[in-house]
Order: sequence, then C-alpha cells, then structure tokens
Amino acid sequence: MRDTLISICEKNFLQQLVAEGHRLDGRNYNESRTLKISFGSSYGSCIVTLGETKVLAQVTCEVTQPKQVRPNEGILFINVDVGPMASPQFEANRSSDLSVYLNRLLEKCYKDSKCIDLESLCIVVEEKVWSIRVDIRVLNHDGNIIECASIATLTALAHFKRPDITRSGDQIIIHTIAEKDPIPTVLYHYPVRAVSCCFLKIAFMYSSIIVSDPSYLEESVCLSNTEEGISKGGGLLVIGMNQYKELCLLDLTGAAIDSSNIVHKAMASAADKCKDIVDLVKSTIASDDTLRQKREKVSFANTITQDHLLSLSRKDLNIRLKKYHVEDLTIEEDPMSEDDDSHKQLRSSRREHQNG
Amino acid sequence: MKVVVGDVVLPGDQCEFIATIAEKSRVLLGPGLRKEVDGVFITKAGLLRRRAPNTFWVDGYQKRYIPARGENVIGLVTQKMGDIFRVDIGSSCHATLSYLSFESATKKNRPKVEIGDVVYAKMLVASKDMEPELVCVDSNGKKNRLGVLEDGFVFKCSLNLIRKILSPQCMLIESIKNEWPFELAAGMNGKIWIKAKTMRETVAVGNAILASEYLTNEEIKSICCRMY
Repeated sequence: MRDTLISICEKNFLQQLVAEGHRLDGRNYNESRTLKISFGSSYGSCIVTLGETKVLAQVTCEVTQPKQVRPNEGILFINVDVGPMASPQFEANRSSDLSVYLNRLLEKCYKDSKCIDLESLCIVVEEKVWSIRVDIRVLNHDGNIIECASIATLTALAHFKRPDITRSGDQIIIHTIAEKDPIPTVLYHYPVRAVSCCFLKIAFMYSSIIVSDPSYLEESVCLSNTEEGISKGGGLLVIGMNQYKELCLLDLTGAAIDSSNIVHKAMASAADKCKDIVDLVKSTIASDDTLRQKREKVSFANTITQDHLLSLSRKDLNIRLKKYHVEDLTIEEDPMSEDDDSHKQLRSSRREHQNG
Repeated sequence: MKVVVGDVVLPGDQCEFIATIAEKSRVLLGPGLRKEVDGVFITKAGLLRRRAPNTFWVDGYQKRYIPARGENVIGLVTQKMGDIFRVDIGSSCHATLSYLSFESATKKNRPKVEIGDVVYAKMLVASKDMEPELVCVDSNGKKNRLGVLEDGFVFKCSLNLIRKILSPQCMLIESIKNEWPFELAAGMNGKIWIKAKTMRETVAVGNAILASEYLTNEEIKSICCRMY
C-alpha cells in the first residue's frame, strides 16, 4: 500500500476548523452522513452507501465438514477486499493493513459476539454443516469504511436465506428456491458498529473533540503520524453495539485517550445511533421482502440508473456550507436546486443536439 | 467512422477532414487527437472542438491530469531525494522539482521546503515517456507568484472546472472578489488552493467554486450576491 500523504495546510486547516466548531462538509460533530441500502437480485447481496463511501456485501453458503473442535456448529467466514477501485493507493490482490484490520474487526463484531445461531447451520453432526461466507468489497473509499462495511455485513446476513434441506435416512436433499422456500439466517441480536469516531487532539486547547462518521480527510488527519511514527493528531475509536445497547466491540487506534470522558460520551451517542441503524436495516429488509413477494424485480441496476442524472453534479461537493450557519442555509439550498436543474437542461439540450 | 466538429467522438475514430486540411495549411492537434502514419485518430471520448483557424481538440469530463508543458499546477511534496523533491501532481507518475529551481536558490542557500508542503509550480518538461519536471521560477529567474503555498486550504475538482473558472468569460472570480477578499491558486491538474480572512470564508469560497461547475454566468452572479 502506498502511503497517503496529507498536506500540512490541509491538516492545519481541518484542525482549526474543527476547533472552531465546524466541519468541512457542514455537519455537526455527531452527525452522520446519509445512509442508503439497496439490494441485489439474489438473497444476501447488498450495497450500502454512507455519503460517498460505498461497500458491496455478498453472502454465499456451501456444505462442508465442520471443525473437529465444534462438530455441531456451522462456520462463518468473513473476507474483506479493499482494491484499487476504492482508492488509488490500494494495490490489487494484496492484503493491506487496512483490509486485515477491517477483517479482524468484523470477525470480532459478528463471530465473537455470537450473533448468529451457528448450531442451526448444522445438517449432520461431525459430517455436514453449512458454511456461510461473507464477501465484502469496498467500491469507494471516502472515510469510515468500518461503519459502512459493518452495516453491509449485518444487512447481507439478515437478508440472506439458505436453501432448505430434507433428510431421509442417510440421504440429504438440498432444495432449490423454486421447490421450497429458503430459510432465513437466525440472528440473536443485530450488532452494528455505529460510531467509529475520530477524536482530534487540538494542541492549543489541551482537549480532544469527538467527531463521528469521519470523512476521508478527517480520518487521515486523525491517523497521520509524525515523521518519528508517533501519532499526535488523534485516533480512531470504534464502538460496536447491538440494538439492546449492549457493547459488542471497542477498539482504539492512534493516539492514547487522556480522559475516560471521551469513551463515555462516544458510547452514549453510539447507543442512540445503533438503534436507528438497526431499525433502518430491519425496515429496508421488510420492504424488500414485500417487493419480492409481489414478484417485482429487485436488482442493483434499478438503483444505479435512478440517480444517474444527478450523480455527476453532486459528487465533487465535498466541501459544503450546509447547516454551516443559520444565515447561510437559504443560500445553500437554492444553488443546489439550480445546480440540478441546469444539469438536467444541459443533458436534455445535449440530447436534442445529438438527435438533431 | 467519419466525424465532424461538434460530434461525440470515441477512441479509434478517424478524422479524415483534419488530414485534408493539413495538406493545405498548418493544423494544431490538442489533447485527445494523435497523428499516425495513415491519418489523424481520436484517443479520448468526448466532443470534437475546433477553434479558428485550425486548432482541434477533444473536450470531455476528466479528473485525471495529463501533464502538458507550460501549465501551472499545484502539487504536494512527498519526498526529498538529494537535490530534487518528488511532487505528487495527480498524474500517473510523480513529478520532480529541483531545489535549484526556486528564486535566489543556490547550492548553499537551499529553499525551505518540507515534506507535506503544497507548491505552485510550472510544468517545464512534460513528455509521454519521461517523468514530468517542475520549476518554481519564470524564465527571468523571478518567483512570479510560484513557490510554496502557506496556510489556506487545498481541494480537488474536475479539470473542466479549473478551465471554466480560468476562462476570461467566467464571472465567478470577479463576482466573489466583490464580496470577500481572498487568495486563489488554480492548478491545471484539478487542484485549487484558497485562502480567505477566516476559516468560514475560505470554506464558503471553496463551496461557491465547486457549486459553480454547472451554472451559467447569471446564476453564478446570483449566488455570489446572495452570499451575504
């Protein structure tokens, strides 16, 4: 992995801006970007978008022999792939520190917290069990992959349905979806990594500020090291919780925390956010199920073409004044709508031009 | 496929009419066009444009910078290697910047450039087979606004937006200038450096620039008036 370098002026600017109480994209400290979940045509595939960060998750299953230590439990395998598609600094077919870190965090969050009923995946003890594999692919990296990937994993697992089986004597028949309704995976609880927040240490204030859902720039400023390899800028605190506000995961990278208040504050905001995210995941899965029962076609193609017209115009607006100051609010809304309209006009005039 | 000016062209299309013009007079080929033995070919997708008398180029939406001689770019110093600095300008490979190509720099008097600094420099060598080379002085050995940019904020945008705000027809800079004083350096590699009096103003200026990508001059004027 090539090292990403952030210019000194960007770093200083961001730190001062946060110290003044603002963020680059106009959010509040504990405000998240918009979360969008869309499903693919098969069960267990979804794309989760958090702002500009985009993650694709696909769940597959196969029948394998169980591990000798746990003969009556199925297997859950999580694989994270961060390729050059996400951001040019990543190399293809090589596991970077980030992908190993992500993999470990996801395993901690989903495997070690025992959210999946692995015993229900058993077919024949010591012989055959279902092995569930979650493939995570990061499509675009704009900070906070951790949260995006964990929501994707959760959604894909909750959405996934494995084929039904019947046992007659020694024979096991695996039914296709057409023959018998598939069985959903049993989730005891919905752990989600709600808040992965950066805290920036502002040197002249001798205090740390918690910023949730960091963007790419914020994340890299927090994790940037000095030349001696000591990180002073801040760190990344990852908190995983389920919908019952139980802690599943706590992870810290970067600089050390100097007061316990930060962790308490972050946990308090994580608790509320986790509930919202889990509710959203559940409601989108429910609405997707009703769509599927009506035999309407669900696929990624629909979701991509829907916002195709405006996708170019907004992508670069990573600096925003939105909600920056009350008097700016009226300014910001108008140009955005004008922006979209003019873009549409441009497109349509171009189309006319081509036809003519 | 036969193409004419104003068409949407794709890589591989042949421009026969340019070859016929070239027989009579001089023709300038810009980005996206390449002369081969058996004619002129398109190498980039976009709209074929022409400026009188005979300058042709392909215009398309682009974010990746392709170095071109004489352009001003904004780069990030990523490495110090002996007597050169390596500068990331967003092209496929890093550019080099010699420490002697600063104003009044000598072997004894080295310029103060640190890793992580942002420099505004001119492209001296840009060929497709060699590493691009930058300089921070003009031909008279004067600084002429080039050099290390201090404070402020740098952000990326599309190459089209840079060309738009630098074109004399665009009212953007004129309009914002009346509202707030600010400093701006626009690199042709899709990077803009801005510095205003306060943080808030800097962000506002940056936002206005990014928002103006698809706006007409009248619309730009109206946003800039409403900034207060």
